[in-house]
Amino acid sequence: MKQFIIKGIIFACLILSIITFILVCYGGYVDYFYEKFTTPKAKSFILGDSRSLQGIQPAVIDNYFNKKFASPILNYSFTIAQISYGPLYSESIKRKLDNSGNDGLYILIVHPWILSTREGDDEEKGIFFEKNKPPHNMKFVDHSPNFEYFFRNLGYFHFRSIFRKTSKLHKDGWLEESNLPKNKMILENWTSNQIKLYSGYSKQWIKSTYRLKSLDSLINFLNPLGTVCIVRMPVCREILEIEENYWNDFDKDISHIAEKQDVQYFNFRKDTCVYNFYDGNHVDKFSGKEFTQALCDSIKIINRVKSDFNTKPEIGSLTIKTEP
Amino acid sequence: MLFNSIEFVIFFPLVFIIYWFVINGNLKNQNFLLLISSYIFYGWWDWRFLSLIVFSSIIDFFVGQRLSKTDNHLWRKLLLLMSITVNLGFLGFFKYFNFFAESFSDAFTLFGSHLDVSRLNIILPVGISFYTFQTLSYSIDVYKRKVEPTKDVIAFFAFVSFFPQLVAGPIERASNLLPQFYKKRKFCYHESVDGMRQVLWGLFKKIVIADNAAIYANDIFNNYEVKSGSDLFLGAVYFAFQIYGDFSGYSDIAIGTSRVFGFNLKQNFAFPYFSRDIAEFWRRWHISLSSWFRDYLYFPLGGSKGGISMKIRNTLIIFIVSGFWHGANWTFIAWGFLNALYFIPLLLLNKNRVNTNIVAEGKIIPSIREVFQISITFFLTLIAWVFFRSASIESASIYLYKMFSKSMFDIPSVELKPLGLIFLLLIVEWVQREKQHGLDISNINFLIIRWLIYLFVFGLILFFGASSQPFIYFQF
Repeated sequence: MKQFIIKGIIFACLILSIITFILVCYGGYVDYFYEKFTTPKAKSFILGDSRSLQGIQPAVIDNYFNKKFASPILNYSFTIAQISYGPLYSESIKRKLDNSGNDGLYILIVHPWILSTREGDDEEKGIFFEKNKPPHNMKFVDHSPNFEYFFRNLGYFHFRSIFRKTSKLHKDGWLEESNLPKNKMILENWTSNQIKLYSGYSKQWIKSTYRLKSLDSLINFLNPLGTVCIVRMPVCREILEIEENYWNDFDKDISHIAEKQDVQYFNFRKDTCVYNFYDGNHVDKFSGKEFTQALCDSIKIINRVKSDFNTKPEIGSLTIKTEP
Repeated sequence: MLFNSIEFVIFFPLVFIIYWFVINGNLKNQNFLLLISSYIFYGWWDWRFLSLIVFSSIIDFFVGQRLSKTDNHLWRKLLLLMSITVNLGFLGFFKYFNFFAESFSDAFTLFGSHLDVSRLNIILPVGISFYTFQTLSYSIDVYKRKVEPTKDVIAFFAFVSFFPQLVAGPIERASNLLPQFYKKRKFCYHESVDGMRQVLWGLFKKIVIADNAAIYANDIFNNYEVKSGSDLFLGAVYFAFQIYGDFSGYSDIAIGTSRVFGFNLKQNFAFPYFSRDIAEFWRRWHISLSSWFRDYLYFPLGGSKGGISMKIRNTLIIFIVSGFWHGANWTFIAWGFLNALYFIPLLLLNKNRVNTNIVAEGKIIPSIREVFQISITFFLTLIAWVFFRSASIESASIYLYKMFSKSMFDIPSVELKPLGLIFLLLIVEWVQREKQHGLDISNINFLIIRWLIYLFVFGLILFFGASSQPFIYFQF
């Protein structure tokens, strides 16, 4: 028996060492979210789903503002399969938040899907689709190596990516996707899959006033801690059309929240032809850099207006036009 | 609780430590611990359905007790009938109610009238088909006086709910498993080590083979209308290995886990894809279910005794019932029927017991004849699996029609990488086919080599494992 236990412990230690080595050295390659839970708490955030996870690059923002806001800014975006604005996401943000200052920058990505009710959800009763998924199932969000994430979300890991290294989650939370379509046919195929996906969502999901209220409360919470801005990222024309049909007065609803909370709404939805999308839904990493730059320009303009005149700019929706 | 979950990684050593260190030597306490652990294991999924297991156990314990006290033939029959009615009643309600309601309604529609039968929103309790058959076998064996009824209520309840094999088998007989609950168990190092190897091999089959094959099999079966014949052929191959890896992997983990606790469960899969004919395949695939149907259905019906029509009737019955056991869908019945069609010619020609030994026993490579036989048998099972996996008979027929078209010889457009893993599985299982499981390497004397093999298998699981999917056989 003793021999069995000793050998079992040695084997378990060996396995644990291998896993620890991989998590520490290749954590960004083997999981799309793991690294987000290994960095210290942050004062500035990018919040949203995969559009911002891949499309907004924290390094560009930090570089652009050069410590005007609390840095480093953390991209704490996930995917539409895991998050939606609601009490669970808000709680997770609060866990990851260092609320010791008031110079943070909070970029909140919005679009109809991230504010929808899905099948099986009963928000008033506290039933949310995202309940047992990361980041909501995480208590420890700033430990490295983070074994809690490993044990709770083993199914999310894809260890063989160590060899391929096609996507990398940077320490700042940005997911760099290098697996881009190699030709037009693949691009069309991926785009058509996304269109199918969102057209399916438009039939199954419904717009949620509960989630809108949650977004409103989150902004209300973040507002005293720095500058909050709401951003609608561009997507391809076909997906935009689905979104418009699904939630026609979406911009009006968001503008209403922005006005109420005295924050800016940067609406890039019309920039369907300005950026390159690798699947119609996500800007590729090159366009992502340009988009982040454009977003910084917009934030800077508003901030300058604020500081120059020490008055509030006209609150509400601001549609940004960027030249192709 | 799933074997391939982190909860089980914590649960298993915890139970192990209490079992062998805290209460070692006290059989009653060990049995009680197994019972509680089994209920926790099952209740982790949905504790409400524990009541079904408890109720089933109470009924069969009671039936066993009463059977031991009476010789009255009629009374004995009534007691057996009670056990059968309760167990099959649960199974029928939870598993087949909607199927019968719909089929009834469809039958009325065929005759031109409309019958509105409402469906019930019934959740199928995990593993109900397994523990129902296990506990039922006890009542039947006691009735037939093959097994002495137990007076030890804890041992009996633990036998019914024994967690390693509770939700997906192997379906153990009271005559094999129940006496093991009465005997004092001693920790056996070699059994435990080999049990852990079997667990590791089971995890490999589940996480690497089944879960990877599932990704492509699901895609192909869900989009079969637009796939070429060669893609569809590969889809059937992937499904064949998905179901094999999934189910035999579960059995390996169950058997391996039991061995660590001092129990010996019967082998459930004996390298079935190396079978040389369908009869051999059925002696090697899901052995515990096949033998259950053989002993409790086929033999009571008369078995292969009697005339040709009797033989055909009995064979059709057991294969169709076996198909129906898998699920409430006509596709499973078609799968069973097709297997019966494969089997009947062998039975009528008295060739169903030709291949009872291990293929190419003592040799490294099989003969050309054996390769041919194995290929044909595999191909036949492949066709049957299409029915098993498809959503309806119609879609299975279209799938096969498209598969056997000219495009069967096109270059496949689907991912071929899983074939490499499947090839690896086949090589290992071929080498190990005379043993109990693929990772039985106790004959290798060098510790370092054995450990390197463990690490290699672990590495395969880590690097080539797909996202965890629930075991297919949970739904049966």
